[in-house]
Amino acid sequence: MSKYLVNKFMHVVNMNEEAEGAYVENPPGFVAQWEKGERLKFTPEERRALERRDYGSLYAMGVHPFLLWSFTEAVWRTEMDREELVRDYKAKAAVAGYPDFET
Amino acid sequence: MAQLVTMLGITHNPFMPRLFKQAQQPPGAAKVQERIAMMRAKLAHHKPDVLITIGNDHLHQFFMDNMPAFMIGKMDRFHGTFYDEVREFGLPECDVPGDLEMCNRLLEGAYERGVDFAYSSELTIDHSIVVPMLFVRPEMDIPIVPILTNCIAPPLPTARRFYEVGRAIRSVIDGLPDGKRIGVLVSGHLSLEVGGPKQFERRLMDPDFDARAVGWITTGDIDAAARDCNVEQMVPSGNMTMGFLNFLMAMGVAGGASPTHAEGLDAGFPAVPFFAWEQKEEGAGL
Repeated sequence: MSKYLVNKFMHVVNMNEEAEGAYVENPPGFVAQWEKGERLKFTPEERRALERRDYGSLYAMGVHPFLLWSFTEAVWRTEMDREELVRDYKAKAAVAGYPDFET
Repeated sequence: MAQLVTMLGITHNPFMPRLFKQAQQPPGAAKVQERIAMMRAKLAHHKPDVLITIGNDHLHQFFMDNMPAFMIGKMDRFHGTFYDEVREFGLPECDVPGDLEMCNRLLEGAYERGVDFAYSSELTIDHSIVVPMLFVRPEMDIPIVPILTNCIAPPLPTARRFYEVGRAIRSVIDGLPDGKRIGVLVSGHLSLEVGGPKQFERRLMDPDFDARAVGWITTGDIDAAARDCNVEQMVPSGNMTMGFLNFLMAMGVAGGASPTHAEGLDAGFPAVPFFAWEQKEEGAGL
Protein backbone atom coordinates (compact mmCIF):
# COMPACT_ATOMS: atom_id res chain seq x y z
CA MET A 1 0.00 0.00 0.00
CA SER A 2 1.31 3.44 -0.91
CA LYS A 3 -0.20 5.42 1.94
CA TYR A 4 2.51 7.99 1.52
CA LEU A 5 1.36 8.82 -2.00
CA VAL A 6 -2.28 9.14 -0.90
CA ASN A 7 -1.15 11.55 1.83
CA LYS A 8 0.85 13.47 -0.76
CA PHE A 9 -2.16 13.72 -3.06
CA MET A 10 -4.37 15.03 -0.23
CA HIS A 11 -1.63 17.46 0.79
CA VAL A 12 -1.48 18.91 -2.74
CA VAL A 13 -5.25 19.22 -3.12
CA ASN A 14 -5.73 20.63 0.38
CA MET A 15 -3.13 23.36 0.07
CA ASN A 16 -3.73 24.60 -3.45
CA GLU A 17 -6.95 26.32 -4.48
CA GLU A 18 -6.47 25.52 -8.16
CA ALA A 19 -5.82 21.81 -7.53
CA GLU A 20 -8.76 21.69 -5.13
CA GLY A 21 -11.07 23.14 -7.78
CA ALA A 22 -9.81 20.86 -10.56
CA TYR A 23 -10.17 17.75 -8.39
CA VAL A 24 -13.69 18.59 -7.25
CA GLU A 25 -14.75 19.30 -10.83
CA ASN A 26 -13.51 15.97 -12.17
CA PRO A 27 -12.08 13.61 -9.53
CA PRO A 28 -11.14 10.64 -11.79
CA GLY A 29 -9.64 12.95 -14.42
CA PHE A 30 -7.60 14.90 -11.89
CA VAL A 31 -6.37 11.74 -10.11
CA ALA A 32 -5.22 10.19 -13.41
CA GLN A 33 -3.48 13.35 -14.57
CA TRP A 34 -1.73 13.89 -11.22
CA GLU A 35 -0.59 10.27 -10.91
CA LYS A 36 1.06 10.45 -14.34
CA GLY A 37 3.54 12.94 -12.95
CA GLU A 38 4.50 10.73 -10.00
CA ARG A 39 7.15 8.02 -9.86
CA LEU A 40 5.25 6.18 -7.09
CA LYS A 41 1.82 4.77 -8.01
CA PHE A 42 -1.49 4.22 -6.21
CA THR A 43 -2.91 0.75 -5.63
CA PRO A 44 -6.26 0.16 -7.40
CA GLU A 45 -8.07 0.53 -4.05
CA GLU A 46 -6.36 3.83 -3.27
CA ARG A 47 -7.07 5.18 -6.76
CA ARG A 48 -10.73 4.18 -6.49
CA ALA A 49 -11.13 5.81 -3.09
CA LEU A 50 -9.63 9.07 -4.36
CA GLU A 51 -11.76 8.98 -7.52
CA ARG A 52 -14.83 8.71 -5.29
CA ARG A 53 -13.65 11.17 -2.63
CA ASP A 54 -14.39 8.24 -0.32
CA TYR A 55 -13.18 9.49 3.07
CA GLY A 56 -14.43 6.40 4.90
CA SER A 57 -12.24 4.07 2.83
CA LEU A 58 -9.28 6.45 3.01
CA TYR A 59 -9.58 6.62 6.79
CA ALA A 60 -9.69 2.82 7.04
CA MET A 61 -6.49 2.59 4.95
CA GLY A 62 -4.62 4.52 7.63
CA VAL A 63 -3.98 7.79 5.84
CA HIS A 64 -3.10 10.69 8.12
CA PRO A 65 -6.33 11.61 9.98
CA PHE A 66 -5.52 15.29 10.53
CA LEU A 67 -4.84 15.73 6.83
CA LEU A 68 -7.80 13.58 5.80
CA TRP A 69 -10.31 15.69 7.70
CA SER A 70 -8.99 18.95 6.26
CA PHE A 71 -8.99 17.43 2.75
CA THR A 72 -12.49 16.02 3.22
CA GLU A 73 -13.85 19.35 4.38
CA ALA A 74 -12.21 21.06 1.40
CA VAL A 75 -13.53 18.73 -1.29
CA TRP A 76 -17.07 18.20 0.03
CA ARG A 77 -17.88 21.62 1.50
CA THR A 78 -19.79 22.93 -1.49
CA GLU A 79 -21.91 19.78 -1.79
CA MET A 80 -22.60 18.65 1.78
CA ASP A 81 -23.84 20.49 4.85
CA ARG A 82 -20.92 20.65 7.31
CA GLU A 83 -22.84 19.14 10.24
CA GLU A 84 -23.92 16.24 8.07
CA LEU A 85 -20.38 15.79 6.75
CA VAL A 86 -18.94 15.74 10.29
CA ARG A 87 -21.55 13.23 11.40
CA ASP A 88 -21.00 10.90 8.44
CA TYR A 89 -17.20 11.17 8.62
CA LYS A 90 -17.21 10.28 12.32
CA ALA A 91 -19.58 7.37 11.80
CA LYS A 92 -17.37 5.92 9.07
CA ALA A 93 -14.20 6.51 11.09
CA ALA A 94 -15.79 4.78 14.07
CA VAL A 95 -16.26 1.61 12.03
CA ALA A 96 -12.53 1.51 11.26
CA GLY A 97 -11.37 2.49 14.77
CA TYR A 98 -7.79 3.72 14.92
CA PRO A 99 -5.71 2.38 12.02
CA ASP A 100 -1.97 3.01 12.32
CA PHE A 101 -1.26 6.18 10.31
CA GLU A 102 2.53 5.94 10.34
CA THR A 103 4.01 5.97 6.82
CA MET B 1 23.92 38.16 29.99
CA ALA B 2 20.61 37.37 28.35
CA GLN B 3 17.73 36.59 30.67
CA LEU B 4 14.82 34.24 30.20
CA VAL B 5 12.07 36.48 31.58
CA THR B 6 8.95 34.46 30.87
CA MET B 7 7.70 31.34 29.16
CA LEU B 8 4.05 30.81 28.28
CA GLY B 9 2.36 27.63 27.09
CA ILE B 10 -1.02 27.94 25.41
CA THR B 11 -3.44 26.38 22.98
CA HIS B 12 -3.11 26.78 19.22
CA ASN B 13 -6.71 25.77 18.52
CA PRO B 14 -7.18 27.33 15.06
CA PHE B 15 -10.97 27.58 15.33
CA MET B 16 -10.85 29.88 18.36
CA PRO B 17 -9.88 33.24 16.79
CA ARG B 18 -12.96 33.11 14.51
CA LEU B 19 -15.17 31.72 17.28
CA PHE B 20 -14.27 34.61 19.59
CA LYS B 21 -15.49 37.12 17.00
CA GLN B 22 -18.93 35.54 16.64
CA ALA B 23 -21.99 37.02 18.33
CA GLN B 24 -23.17 33.63 19.60
CA GLN B 25 -20.49 31.79 21.57
CA PRO B 26 -20.55 28.54 23.54
CA PRO B 27 -20.73 29.02 27.33
CA GLY B 28 -17.07 28.19 27.99
CA ALA B 29 -15.64 30.66 25.48
CA ALA B 30 -15.61 33.56 27.96
CA LYS B 31 -13.45 31.58 30.41
CA VAL B 32 -10.94 30.78 27.67
CA GLN B 33 -10.77 34.43 26.64
CA GLU B 34 -10.20 35.49 30.26
CA ARG B 35 -7.19 33.18 30.50
CA ILE B 36 -5.85 34.38 27.15
CA ALA B 37 -6.10 37.98 28.39
CA MET B 38 -4.20 36.96 31.53
CA MET B 39 -1.44 35.40 29.41
CA ARG B 40 -1.29 38.49 27.19
CA ALA B 41 -0.85 40.65 30.30
CA LYS B 42 1.94 38.40 31.60
CA LEU B 43 3.83 38.71 28.33
CA ALA B 44 3.44 42.49 28.27
CA HIS B 45 4.57 42.74 31.91
CA HIS B 46 7.85 40.93 31.26
CA LYS B 47 8.73 43.01 28.16
CA PRO B 48 10.69 40.45 26.16
CA ASP B 49 12.94 41.75 23.34
CA VAL B 50 12.61 38.49 21.43
CA LEU B 51 10.22 35.54 21.49
CA ILE B 52 11.33 31.98 20.86
CA THR B 53 8.11 30.46 19.53
CA ILE B 54 7.84 26.68 19.77
CA GLY B 55 5.11 24.87 17.85
CA ASN B 56 4.62 22.17 15.26
CA ASP B 57 4.00 22.46 11.54
CA HIS B 58 0.77 20.63 10.62
CA LEU B 59 1.89 18.90 7.40
CA HIS B 60 2.10 22.23 5.63
CA GLN B 61 5.68 23.20 4.88
CA PHE B 62 7.08 19.89 6.14
CA PHE B 63 5.81 16.60 4.84
CA MET B 64 6.77 12.94 4.92
CA ASP B 65 9.05 13.45 1.90
CA ASN B 66 11.46 15.37 4.13
CA MET B 67 10.40 15.57 7.76
CA PRO B 68 12.66 17.28 10.29
CA ALA B 69 12.32 16.16 13.90
CA PHE B 70 13.18 19.68 15.14
CA MET B 71 13.92 22.77 13.07
CA ILE B 72 14.61 26.49 13.38
CA GLY B 73 13.36 29.18 11.03
CA LYS B 74 16.22 31.47 10.02
CA MET B 75 14.75 34.68 8.57
CA ASP B 76 14.26 38.32 9.44
CA ARG B 77 10.56 38.14 8.55
CA PHE B 78 8.10 35.24 8.68
CA HIS B 79 4.88 34.96 6.76
CA GLY B 80 1.79 33.15 8.06
CA THR B 81 -0.21 31.22 7.04
CA PHE B 82 -1.28 28.81 4.23
CA TYR B 83 -4.26 28.81 1.86
CA ASP B 84 -6.02 25.87 3.56
CA GLU B 85 -5.86 27.56 6.98
CA VAL B 86 -7.45 30.71 5.62
CA ARG B 87 -10.15 28.57 3.97
CA GLU B 88 -10.87 26.18 6.85
CA PHE B 89 -10.29 28.36 9.92
CA GLY B 90 -10.63 31.88 8.58
CA LEU B 91 -7.17 32.72 9.92
CA PRO B 92 -5.69 36.02 8.76
CA GLU B 93 -2.49 36.14 6.77
CA CYS B 94 0.21 37.94 8.74
CA ASP B 95 3.86 38.95 8.80
CA VAL B 96 5.98 38.68 11.92
CA PRO B 97 9.49 40.10 12.29
CA GLY B 98 12.25 37.57 12.94
CA ASP B 99 15.47 37.96 14.95
CA LEU B 100 17.90 36.47 12.43
CA GLU B 101 20.93 36.91 14.65
CA MET B 102 19.20 35.03 17.48
CA CYS B 103 18.05 32.33 15.03
CA ASN B 104 21.70 31.74 14.08
CA ARG B 105 22.95 31.82 17.66
CA LEU B 106 20.35 29.34 18.78
CA LEU B 107 21.08 27.02 15.84
CA GLU B 108 24.85 27.10 16.30
CA GLY B 109 24.62 26.95 20.09
CA ALA B 110 22.40 23.89 19.85
CA TYR B 111 24.89 22.18 17.49
CA GLU B 112 27.58 22.71 20.11
CA ARG B 113 25.31 21.07 22.68
CA GLY B 114 24.56 17.96 20.64
CA VAL B 115 21.22 19.03 19.11
CA ASP B 116 21.29 19.13 15.32
CA PHE B 117 18.29 21.23 14.34
CA ALA B 118 17.28 21.38 10.70
CA TYR B 119 16.86 24.94 9.52
CA SER B 120 14.83 26.83 6.94
CA SER B 121 15.56 30.15 5.26
CA GLU B 122 12.14 30.08 3.63
CA LEU B 123 9.68 29.22 6.37
CA THR B 124 5.96 29.95 6.41
CA ILE B 125 4.46 29.60 9.89
CA ASP B 126 1.10 27.89 10.38
CA HIS B 127 -1.49 28.08 13.15
CA SER B 128 0.83 26.61 15.77
CA ILE B 129 2.64 29.96 15.86
CA VAL B 130 0.09 32.31 14.27
CA VAL B 131 -2.70 31.52 16.76
CA PRO B 132 -0.60 31.95 19.93
CA MET B 133 0.72 35.24 18.53
CA LEU B 134 -2.84 36.42 17.75
CA PHE B 135 -3.75 35.55 21.34
CA VAL B 136 -0.86 36.97 23.37
CA ARG B 137 0.75 39.51 21.06
CA PRO B 138 -1.71 40.52 18.34
CA GLU B 139 0.49 43.53 17.53
CA MET B 140 3.06 40.99 16.23
CA ASP B 141 5.82 43.49 16.97
CA ILE B 142 8.25 41.32 18.95
CA PRO B 143 10.80 39.54 16.71
CA ILE B 144 10.47 35.77 16.84
CA VAL B 145 12.73 32.74 16.52
CA PRO B 146 10.43 29.94 15.39
CA ILE B 147 11.19 26.37 16.40
CA LEU B 148 9.03 23.64 14.91
CA THR B 149 8.80 20.05 16.12
CA ASN B 150 7.43 16.89 14.61
CA CYS B 151 4.69 15.71 16.91
CA ILE B 152 2.22 14.93 14.13
CA ALA B 153 3.79 12.45 11.68
CA PRO B 154 5.00 9.28 13.43
CA PRO B 155 7.55 7.99 14.08
CA LEU B 156 8.21 10.89 16.46
CA PRO B 157 11.23 11.75 18.57
CA THR B 158 10.87 10.39 22.10
CA ALA B 159 9.20 12.41 24.84
CA ARG B 160 12.53 12.59 26.65
CA ARG B 161 14.17 14.02 23.54
CA PHE B 162 11.64 16.87 23.46
CA TYR B 163 12.70 17.64 27.04
CA GLU B 164 16.42 17.37 26.24
CA VAL B 165 16.09 19.73 23.28
CA GLY B 166 14.39 22.16 25.67
CA ARG B 167 17.35 21.82 28.06
CA ALA B 168 19.75 22.61 25.21
CA ILE B 169 17.72 25.68 24.19
CA ARG B 170 17.88 26.93 27.80
CA SER B 171 21.61 26.34 27.96
CA VAL B 172 22.11 28.41 24.81
CA ILE B 173 19.90 31.21 26.20
CA ASP B 174 21.82 31.27 29.48
CA GLY B 175 25.12 31.55 27.62
CA LEU B 176 24.16 34.46 25.36
CA PRO B 177 26.47 37.39 26.06
CA ASP B 178 24.12 40.31 25.38
CA GLY B 179 21.50 41.64 27.75
CA LYS B 180 18.46 40.62 25.76
CA ARG B 181 15.25 39.76 27.53
CA ILE B 182 14.08 36.44 26.14
CA GLY B 183 10.51 35.19 26.16
CA VAL B 184 9.41 31.73 25.09
CA LEU B 185 5.94 31.03 23.69
CA VAL B 186 5.06 27.35 23.38
CA SER B 187 1.88 26.00 21.83
CA GLY B 188 0.34 22.57 21.93
CA HIS B 189 -2.57 20.79 23.50
CA LEU B 190 -3.68 18.19 25.99
CA SER B 191 -5.85 15.22 24.93
CA LEU B 192 -7.25 15.97 21.49
CA GLU B 193 -8.73 14.23 18.48
CA VAL B 194 -8.76 15.56 14.91
CA GLY B 195 -9.90 13.48 11.97
CA GLY B 196 -10.98 10.52 14.09
CA PRO B 197 -14.30 9.19 15.41
CA LYS B 198 -14.26 11.56 18.41
CA GLN B 199 -13.42 14.84 16.66
CA PHE B 200 -15.34 18.02 17.43
CA GLU B 201 -16.92 16.64 20.60
CA ARG B 202 -17.56 19.39 23.11
CA ARG B 203 -16.04 17.63 26.09
CA LEU B 204 -12.67 16.71 27.54
CA MET B 205 -11.25 13.89 25.41
CA ASP B 206 -9.44 12.17 28.28
CA PRO B 207 -9.67 13.94 31.66
CA ASP B 208 -7.31 11.39 33.22
CA PHE B 209 -4.55 12.11 30.70
CA ASP B 210 -5.13 15.87 31.07
CA ALA B 211 -4.80 15.69 34.86
CA ARG B 212 -1.63 13.61 34.68
CA ALA B 213 -0.14 15.88 32.02
CA VAL B 214 -0.77 19.06 34.02
CA GLY B 215 0.70 17.22 37.03
CA TRP B 216 3.92 16.39 35.15
CA ILE B 217 4.33 20.02 34.16
CA THR B 218 3.56 21.23 37.69
CA THR B 219 6.11 18.95 39.34
CA GLY B 220 8.61 18.86 36.45
CA ASP B 221 8.34 15.06 36.42
CA ILE B 222 10.00 14.22 33.12
CA ASP B 223 10.51 10.56 34.13
CA ALA B 224 6.76 9.97 34.48
CA ALA B 225 6.02 11.93 31.32
CA ALA B 226 8.66 10.03 29.33
CA ARG B 227 7.22 6.73 30.57
CA ASP B 228 3.64 7.55 29.51
CA CYS B 229 4.06 9.63 26.35
CA ASN B 230 4.80 7.43 23.37
CA VAL B 231 2.44 7.43 20.38
CA GLU B 232 0.79 4.07 21.21
CA GLN B 233 0.01 5.27 24.74
CA MET B 234 -1.28 8.68 23.67
CA VAL B 235 -3.54 7.83 20.70
CA PRO B 236 -6.22 6.22 22.93
CA SER B 237 -6.50 9.58 24.74
CA GLY B 238 -7.22 11.22 21.36
CA ASN B 239 -5.41 10.65 18.07
CA MET B 240 -3.58 14.01 18.11
CA THR B 241 -2.69 14.05 21.83
CA MET B 242 0.99 13.98 20.81
CA GLY B 243 0.77 17.78 20.52
CA PHE B 244 1.37 17.70 24.29
CA LEU B 245 5.03 16.87 23.60
CA ASN B 246 5.75 20.53 22.85
CA PHE B 247 5.07 21.27 26.52
CA LEU B 248 7.73 18.74 27.51
CA MET B 249 10.16 20.89 25.54
CA ALA B 250 8.91 23.81 27.65
CA MET B 251 9.58 21.74 30.77
CA GLY B 252 13.15 21.32 29.56
CA VAL B 253 13.53 25.05 28.96
CA ALA B 254 12.18 25.70 32.49
CA GLY B 255 14.98 23.54 33.85
CA GLY B 256 13.26 22.51 37.05
CA ALA B 257 11.60 25.84 37.81
CA SER B 258 7.99 25.50 38.97
CA PRO B 259 5.31 27.04 36.78
CA THR B 260 3.43 30.02 38.16
CA HIS B 261 0.32 28.79 36.34
CA ALA B 262 -0.55 25.27 35.14
CA GLU B 263 -4.02 24.33 34.05
CA GLY B 264 -6.02 22.23 31.63
CA LEU B 265 -9.13 24.39 31.44
CA ASP B 266 -12.45 22.58 31.09
CA ALA B 267 -14.50 25.02 29.02
CA GLY B 268 -16.77 22.55 27.30
CA PHE B 269 -14.14 21.71 24.65
CA PRO B 270 -11.17 19.38 24.74
CA ALA B 271 -8.99 20.73 27.60
CA VAL B 272 -7.41 24.13 26.92
CA PRO B 273 -3.84 24.28 28.25
CA PHE B 274 -2.45 27.34 30.00
CA PHE B 275 1.06 27.22 31.47
CA ALA B 276 3.33 30.05 32.61
CA TRP B 277 6.80 30.30 34.06
CA GLU B 278 7.85 33.77 35.14
CA GLN B 279 10.87 35.59 36.45
CA LYS B 280 10.13 36.32 40.11
CA GLU B 281 12.37 39.35 40.45
CA GLU B 282 14.25 41.51 38.00
CA GLY B 283 17.66 40.05 37.22
CA ALA B 284 16.86 36.57 38.51
CA GLY B 285 16.28 33.67 36.12
CA LEU B 286 13.08 31.69 36.04
